[in-house]
Amino acid sequence: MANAELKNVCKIYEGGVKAVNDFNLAIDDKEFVVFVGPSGCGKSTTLRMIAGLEEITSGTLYIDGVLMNDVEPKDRDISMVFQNYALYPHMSVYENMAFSLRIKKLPKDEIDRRVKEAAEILGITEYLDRKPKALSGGQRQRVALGRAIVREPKLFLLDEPLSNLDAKLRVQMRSEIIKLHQRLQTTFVYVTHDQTEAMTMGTRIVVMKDGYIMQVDTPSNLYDHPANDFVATFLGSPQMNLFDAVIERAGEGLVVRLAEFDDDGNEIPSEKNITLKVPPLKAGQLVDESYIGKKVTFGIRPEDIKESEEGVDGAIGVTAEIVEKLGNETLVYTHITGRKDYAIASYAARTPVLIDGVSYMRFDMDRMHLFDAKSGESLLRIPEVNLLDVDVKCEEDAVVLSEGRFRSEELKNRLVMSAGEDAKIGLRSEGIGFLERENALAVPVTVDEVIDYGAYKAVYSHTAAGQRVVVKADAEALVPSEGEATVYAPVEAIDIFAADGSRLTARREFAHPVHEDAAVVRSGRVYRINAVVEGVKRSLACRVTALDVFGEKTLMTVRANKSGEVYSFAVPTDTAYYEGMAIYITPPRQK
Amino acid sequence: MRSYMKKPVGMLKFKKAADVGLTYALLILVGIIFVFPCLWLVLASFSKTGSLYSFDGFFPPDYSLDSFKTLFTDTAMYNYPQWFLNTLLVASMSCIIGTLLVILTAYTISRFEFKARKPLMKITLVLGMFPSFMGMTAVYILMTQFNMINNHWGLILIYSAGAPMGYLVQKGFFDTIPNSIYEAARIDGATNARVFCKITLPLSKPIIVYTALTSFAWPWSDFILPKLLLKERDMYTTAVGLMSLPETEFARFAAGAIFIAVPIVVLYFCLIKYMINGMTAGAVKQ
Amino acid sequence: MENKAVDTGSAGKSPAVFFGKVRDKLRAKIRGAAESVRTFFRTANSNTFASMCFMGAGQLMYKQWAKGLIYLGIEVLFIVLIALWGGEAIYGFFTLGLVRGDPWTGVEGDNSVVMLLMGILAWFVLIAFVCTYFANIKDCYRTQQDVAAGKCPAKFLDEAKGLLDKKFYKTVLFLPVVGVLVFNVLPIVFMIFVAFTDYGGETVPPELVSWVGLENFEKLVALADIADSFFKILGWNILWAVLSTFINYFLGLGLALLLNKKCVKGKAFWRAFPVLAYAVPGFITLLGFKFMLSYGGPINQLIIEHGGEAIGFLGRDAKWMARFIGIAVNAWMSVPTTMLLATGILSNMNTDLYEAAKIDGAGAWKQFTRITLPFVVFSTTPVLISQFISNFNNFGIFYFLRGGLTLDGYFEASDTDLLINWLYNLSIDNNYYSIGAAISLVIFVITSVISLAVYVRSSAYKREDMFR
Repeated sequence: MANAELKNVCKIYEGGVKAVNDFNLAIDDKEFVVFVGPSGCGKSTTLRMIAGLEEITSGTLYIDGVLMNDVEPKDRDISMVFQNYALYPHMSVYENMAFSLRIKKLPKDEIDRRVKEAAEILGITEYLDRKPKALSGGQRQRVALGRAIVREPKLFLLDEPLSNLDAKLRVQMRSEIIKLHQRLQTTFVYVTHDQTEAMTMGTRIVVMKDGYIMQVDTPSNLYDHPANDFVATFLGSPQMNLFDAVIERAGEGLVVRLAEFDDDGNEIPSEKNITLKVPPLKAGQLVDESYIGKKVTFGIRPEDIKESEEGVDGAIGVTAEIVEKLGNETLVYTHITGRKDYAIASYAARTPVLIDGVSYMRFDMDRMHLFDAKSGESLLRIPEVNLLDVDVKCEEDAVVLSEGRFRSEELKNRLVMSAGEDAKIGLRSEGIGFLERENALAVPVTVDEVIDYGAYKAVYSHTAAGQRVVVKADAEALVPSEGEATVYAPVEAIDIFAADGSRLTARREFAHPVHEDAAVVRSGRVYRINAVVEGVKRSLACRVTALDVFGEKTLMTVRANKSGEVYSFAVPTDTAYYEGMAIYITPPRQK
Repeated sequence: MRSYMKKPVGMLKFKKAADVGLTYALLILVGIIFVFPCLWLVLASFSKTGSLYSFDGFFPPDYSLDSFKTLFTDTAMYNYPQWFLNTLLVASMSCIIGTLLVILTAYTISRFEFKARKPLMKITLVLGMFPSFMGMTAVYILMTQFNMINNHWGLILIYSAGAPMGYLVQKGFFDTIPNSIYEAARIDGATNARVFCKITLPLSKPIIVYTALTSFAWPWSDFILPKLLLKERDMYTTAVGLMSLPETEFARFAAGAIFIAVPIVVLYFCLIKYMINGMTAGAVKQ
Repeated sequence: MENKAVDTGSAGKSPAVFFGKVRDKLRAKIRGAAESVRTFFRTANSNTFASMCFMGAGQLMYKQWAKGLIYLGIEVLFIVLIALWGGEAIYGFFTLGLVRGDPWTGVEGDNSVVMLLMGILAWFVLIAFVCTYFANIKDCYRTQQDVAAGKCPAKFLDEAKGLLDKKFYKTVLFLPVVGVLVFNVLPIVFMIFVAFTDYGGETVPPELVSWVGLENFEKLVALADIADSFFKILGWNILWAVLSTFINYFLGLGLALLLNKKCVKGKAFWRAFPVLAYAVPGFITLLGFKFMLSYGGPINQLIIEHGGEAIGFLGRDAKWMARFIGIAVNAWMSVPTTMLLATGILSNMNTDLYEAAKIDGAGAWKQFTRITLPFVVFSTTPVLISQFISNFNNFGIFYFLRGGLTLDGYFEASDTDLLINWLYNLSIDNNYYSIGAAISLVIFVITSVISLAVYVRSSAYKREDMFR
């Protein structure tokens, strides 16, 4: 049994270089999690923080529910395999594997048993007496794995273990590591820059870039539902074709029109317009209708481009410039007729392709992708919050919703700023469901569509007023597939929003009054809040109990260590804060 | 066509032969330059008469083992056996303590990240810029205060204490050991003390040999400190003792010199591989 | 200092920009320090303040008995030490003695030199105590933070164990640092202070030594005798260092290349000759050469035999001949070192480069100048610097070859003497300690400026940073 949880983990090197930013991940028991990303994305640093080889600048790491931030690597019950194997050159294979066990002072026969067993698993029994120098790369890697196995750790950490091997050996070792994972039934965390390794080995993949998590999901979800254009292009070879485009309404549905833009973002009229019909299922997934009429990025994978013929609906005329016959597939690099765009298509093997002549292709629009032109975020994702125009009334001690059908004191307590007349409510798609429960806002809806993502499902529905409600449900949850239903929103999944879309409620309870304009001063590892707080004359040692980010401001709630008194402050947002952090309240000096 | 081809080939061959000839001529010349003074000293040590003035040009007229005999038997004026033992004591003790200190210092500076690391490195760099015996007077006074004049342990103390200043070469070597080995050992549960004993030391044989050799050779042939701190003739080390010999005792000087040079030369020849490795590792990666 | 050094490398062209950067960095540092102090005083609790008053008190309040008692013990020890010895020693440092000893009347006077040395030692002890004091406060403050973050105060046994693990460097570096402090730093500091006294010549104990400010440095440049010698010696010293460094370096490199040639069979045999020269202790070589070149030496004997007149190769009138002999002998001794080093580096070199160069049509000379030389020079810049410095301060060569000779026109020196030899003559042979100390400082300034300049320019320095 081993799970690991990273909360708001940051790594800032001396000199201010941020290697990892606000890393949040829960690793379940027996999972095979792969961190993947280009070099310098912080994946190795994160792994090394889990191992304890790098200090965690801020945030918390739990292994099996135990806080590990200040625990020595040897006491974390982990083992690690390094890229360059890191075998002790002067010790034999046996000694290399026995080293850690000897330090633990295990009995001799137990050491012998474990080493021999591990050697058996990895097929290195005959090399036990050799020095690492006398081994090939693959054998050394096996020894490194063996050294990790004998410790029988809770957590296996592997840092690019295959990148020093040649291609053939890499494929072989890949399957051996997968087998090893199945056999040992432990949690693996694996770092690689190689997307093939990530896709083939991981039960879950964490894609990283510049110290940020881009997406965490299963391999197939990453591939089919990338959260942004980075993930979309990083996975898959050749990479996804991206085009500038505009979403437009066409009758009942939507179309994507490929378009060209100048540097200022103004559209340049094209010689040839290409308009692609968006299937209704995809159109329903559009996260926000405000994108209609705006510049977006349209993406289609090479294998989702099919051959076509002139005159067929959706056929696009192209000129093939280069054809690569890879044996199992044929890659065609084409230039779209009358446009600047290029497209790469992957056709079946042995497809005859005319070079430099005009041919036709069509996009499989059921597999299309849309991204925000600026942020790159996918537009076909589950919205985090369903904004609904519901009548919101603030009373003395409670908030009343839907003309008195729902009344909550808690919501009133969570209200940070007063809600105006035209306030809306937001239902968090992850917190709501179809299971009837007490003290929840009931919203009658009509279910349109259920999309299964494997680990979870998304239920698309709409209210009588035509407003969309999306429910993100567990894979096991019972959801209606069609027709009339009621969505129940417990109070903790409800937020109140201002008309301009800014959140007005805190996610958790906090203390009144909120001290505005409090500044947090950091010096070394000591943090203090500079604020006038009634009853606090000298400095007061506290712990952070809750953090709630409102854009540029963070609502920080702290509890005094001695008195247990709770205070809340609105402080500038910073990823360095974490729950459980020690902080002092220091009143400004009276002059 | 064929004759046309032949000529340049012949020329090339000639050029090559000339090149080889020239190379060997140069090598022989270099050999003579380096070996002649040594040979001269060796032959002089076997001279019968002893005085430099009685020589016939470079070479003594008669050969015998007399000067070696007097070197070890005639100890009234010049107690060579005692000097030799003194030197051996000072050099070997300084070698042991000094090597230990240098290796530990270099390992620490190379492997650990701590606040004082960079300042320490800079301070040693700056200290190295001061002329080596600038502080001699102070050392002398200090040693008088500690009552360590005419005491070999005083010398050993100074040699060993100064040794860590020259840690750079060793640090260069330790820098080449990949960090991941240390990290692997840390995960395996080894403390840093254990890592040093079980991982670092076995891996650093070349640099230990190099360090031991250099920290042995320095007190073995140093003359400034012993001359300053050793005032009694019987306490002398060989370097100081041999310096006190006049030209008339040339054969004795030569014999004494041979006797002290041979062990160190033999050591160097046996360990030349380690020397080159150690030197290069230290020089290339500062 | 480090930032400064790196910056000069990149932005050396405009000093204004450079100093602006330094100023900004300095300001940021001061601001940061001020902030820490402010934070400390705002957040420190009573335990930490207790540690400020009595070392170890806060630790005791956190029930860290052993540590608290150790700190307390150190404080008591220090107070006792100051009362019994330190106060007087520091007072003596300023006065350098008030009572002149007189053997006739039996008055035991003050020994100024010992007082100076003890004064410096007392300063060292004081600084060490202040450091311990701040470490004590920091330690208590850290414990306060740990407790605030919900941890227990560290146990003494765990902290002691840490000295073998996380803080292993502290354990290991303790002895070397103390050794270097006592036997390297203390003497150097002592001599730096001596440079500002009139210690030496007639003024040695039992006479009283006193502080004289910059007088010695003024003498060095203004007093006819000394100044004249100083500049003459300095000029020759620089010439010597440059010449011998380059000669040794290129001869050594040439020799290594020669031995590295493909056509040379039996490399180990040929290499043995220079290694022999390398292994023979330096003083033996030098005395051997001195005997060889002396008036009665074998070379002069040969000359006389052939009807010539004995030549004083190293005699009083040798002039440039002695200098050239010095350079040659130095080469004989130092070339093997460079050769061994270059051999090691050449063996590490990638031979593909040569093959590529050959295909590109480069001849032997081009290969040497375009590939070998840059590679070797690049990887040996630090060595080149240290060789330059050791040549600049090469004491042995002329000490042995000409042994304390003094010539007219020089103040206690000969025309071959380097500054370091002069320094020796002045301070050890003739007791001109304060002048000697002043010369030492001048040597220090010259060598450090030169090497700093080369060091900063050389990429080897930047590589160290990259490597870490």
